[in-house]
Amino acid sequence: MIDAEKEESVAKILLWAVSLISVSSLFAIFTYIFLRGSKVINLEFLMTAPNPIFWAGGIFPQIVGSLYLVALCTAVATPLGISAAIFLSEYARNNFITKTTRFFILTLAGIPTIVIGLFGLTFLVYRLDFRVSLFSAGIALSFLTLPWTITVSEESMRAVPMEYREAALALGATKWQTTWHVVFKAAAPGIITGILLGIGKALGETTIPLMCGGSGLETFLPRSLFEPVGGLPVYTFIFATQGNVSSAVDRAFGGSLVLTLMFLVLSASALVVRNRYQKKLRK
Amino acid sequence: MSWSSSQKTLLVILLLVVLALGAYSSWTISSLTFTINTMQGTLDDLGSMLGNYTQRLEGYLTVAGSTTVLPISQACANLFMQENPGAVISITGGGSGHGISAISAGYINIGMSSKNLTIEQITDPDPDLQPVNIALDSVAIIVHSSNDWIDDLTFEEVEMIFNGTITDWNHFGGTGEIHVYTREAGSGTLECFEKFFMENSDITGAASEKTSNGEMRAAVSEDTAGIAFLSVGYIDETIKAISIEGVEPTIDNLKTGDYTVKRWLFLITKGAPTTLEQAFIDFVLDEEGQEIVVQEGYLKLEWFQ
Amino acid sequence: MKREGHRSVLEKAIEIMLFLGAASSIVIVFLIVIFMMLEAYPALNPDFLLGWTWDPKKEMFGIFQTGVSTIYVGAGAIILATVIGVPTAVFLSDFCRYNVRNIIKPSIELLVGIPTIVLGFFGLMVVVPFIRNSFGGWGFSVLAGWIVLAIMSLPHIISISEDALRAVPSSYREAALALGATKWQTVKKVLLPHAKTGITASILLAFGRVMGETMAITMVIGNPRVSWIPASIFDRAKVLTSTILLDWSYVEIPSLHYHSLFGIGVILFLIVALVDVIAVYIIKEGMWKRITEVASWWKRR
Repeated sequence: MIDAEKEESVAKILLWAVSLISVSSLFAIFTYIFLRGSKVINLEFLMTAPNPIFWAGGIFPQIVGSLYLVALCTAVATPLGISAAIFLSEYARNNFITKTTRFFILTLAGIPTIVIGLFGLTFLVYRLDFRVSLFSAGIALSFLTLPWTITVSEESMRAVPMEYREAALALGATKWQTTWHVVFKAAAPGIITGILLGIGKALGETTIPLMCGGSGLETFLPRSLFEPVGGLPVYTFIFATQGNVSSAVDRAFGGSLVLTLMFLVLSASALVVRNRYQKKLRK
Repeated sequence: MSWSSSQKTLLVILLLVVLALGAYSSWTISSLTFTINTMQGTLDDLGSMLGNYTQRLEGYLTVAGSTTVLPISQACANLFMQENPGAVISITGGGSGHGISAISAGYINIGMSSKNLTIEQITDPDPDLQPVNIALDSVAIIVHSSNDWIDDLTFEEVEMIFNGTITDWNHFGGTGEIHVYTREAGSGTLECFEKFFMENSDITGAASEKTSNGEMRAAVSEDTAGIAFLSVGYIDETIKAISIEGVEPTIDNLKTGDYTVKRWLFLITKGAPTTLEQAFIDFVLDEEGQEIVVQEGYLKLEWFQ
Repeated sequence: MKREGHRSVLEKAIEIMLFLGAASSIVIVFLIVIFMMLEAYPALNPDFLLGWTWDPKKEMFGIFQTGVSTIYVGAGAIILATVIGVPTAVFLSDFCRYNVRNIIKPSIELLVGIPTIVLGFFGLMVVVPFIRNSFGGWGFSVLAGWIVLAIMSLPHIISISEDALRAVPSSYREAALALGATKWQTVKKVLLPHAKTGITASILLAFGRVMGETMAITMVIGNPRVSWIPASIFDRAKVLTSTILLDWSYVEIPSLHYHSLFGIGVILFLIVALVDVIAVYIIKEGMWKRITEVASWWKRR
């Protein structure tokens, strides 16, 4: 009996200690980046172009560039992904072909991003001659987000109980009406969560924009889809690894902070959507 | 929803059609972009005829390659864009190897290189690379700014440090392991370094690999035990440059030839340059551009002609 | 009747559009995989897979040492993350007050998928100098890689493991407590076994992500010119993804070097795919039971 209670106290202490380590290390990182990055954040930093020669300037083209990249990526991956998800979940029969398809999509989700970057470089940039541009990087990023969108959307739709569909069909709705008005609307929060998480993933990507999108130190915004574009992660990478003066390091922290904040906003939105969805289901 | 066998066949046919459409459209898109690029070239030429009257240049240039040439290109591009508001120039690093490989593949406009092109690369009609000398440069050995164990090295000593024969600073009266840094295999700076300093041996496999002059400088400025090589244009107060056999890597010593390490810097186009490309290259070769070359710490062409 | 006919044409049209959307997605997936395999094919031979040395200057493209390093770094990081993460999940699910958990759990979930460049930068600025000042040497080391990758995986492992633990029906807990078990005994003997499939799956998936990580690891691991199997955790190393990152910019297209880079891509893809498949099959409890059956049969031999 005593042994069990001793074990319990020891276990409690160990668990507390380990949890303290993990939770505090995670927050320490964010706090550190916040403290070192906020030094350099001001309106000028956010609204001017970088000056790579003197390791000075701001990150405006990079912020907008990141948004452009993410927008293009989402615009391509979302319709394709959702149609694939709807088709797989509602229209296709659950047979060997669909199972293999789901398997392949899942494995594509596991390809390391640098390999997708390499694919984008040799296929989109070089073979299809889209050159180093917003277009190439955006499409390559959508390859990253696509399997994720399909998987999450499909799971959300399959989670909708069959009774919903049966009820709608019994009331005389057609297949598409059922799918759109009943299943899709019910699965929407899950799908939106998936999209937001995909956006977060694309936002933090470094290797794909580095290989297909541009130098990261662009001082101009791309005027068309086929011009190079710079994003925050690549900017941070270059300033962090090549900057040998404090102004460079400070700016790298500034870029990291802005990037992290953008990411946290997306992440938080996804969580909020998911929690409301779960609350709805529980009702 | 179940499918009859005829619907299944329809499905398969549709899938094949999609695949075929995909293949066809990607072929079409690539030939379309090729056509657009060629048309762009023609329009550029037309524009240049008109432009001679207006002196306004417009368009987008992607320049990439040697991090040695990078500061020159960046500074020149800044001035060029100020003088020609319609022109936008995007400059990336990546190393001479990247510059040559990317311009050969044709997905940038101008490649920067500190690496000499081989005879085959110049004469081969397929990529049809056309290099233009724009400046001269040298390679210096650098250590941490607080490193006072060495001020001067012989060529042999440099080779022995970099090939791993001398591994410890106590050989020079210091303490600790020597941390050797090197560049990626395609680097022009590496090629120059090996040509002049590594006569008989290879750089040790234990050297940490960096991919730009900037990274070499940053690495050594933070590592008290570090030693590396880089382009003289990158020497600044954050690191200490070593003299070789009594000769410091200064501009004067380079002009007179006392510091023997020397190499050309190039801008490379694929085929004949377009109007905008030629304008940029001309800018770099002109007075303004060559002044920038000197400001950035390199050697301008006329000192050697 | 006419209206119905109109609708069914619309229905068919929508169905076809959806099918095309699905087909395009699938075509893309196949395209990438097949392209990768084709470009890697010329390099896939024993020289590549079992070759000891990766040295582009000497036209040598053997990935064996690099591959071993990658697994060494990845496995160590995941073990570290598991040892820290699973107890944290246990703490959050069963040993923590409700309001504390409601603050901590969402905060950790916010950090899942944090841009890895930020973690790599943090590693470069904090972890590497720390190791250099405390233990000497380069600072860039396997240990730095373990720490950075473990931090990267922690939110994922904690979050999913905690979900798995909480998914255990509360009746199990109540039954155990009614029998007089302490909280820890309940966790050890009832909850963890029940949640082990979810926890194992999360660990495997995190391992897959860690194997494919490029930026964070390249910034802190050291990258010696000719890759080796690290001699200690303070030794530098080079992993497969870093090899692609360091070499991609100057490879000639095409060349053996170029094909070898895609070869690395294929190997990475296969490893991650294998790990994902194992994770998915473990989730189906049948497989897990079979694994334990095999394990006990093996013990009995």
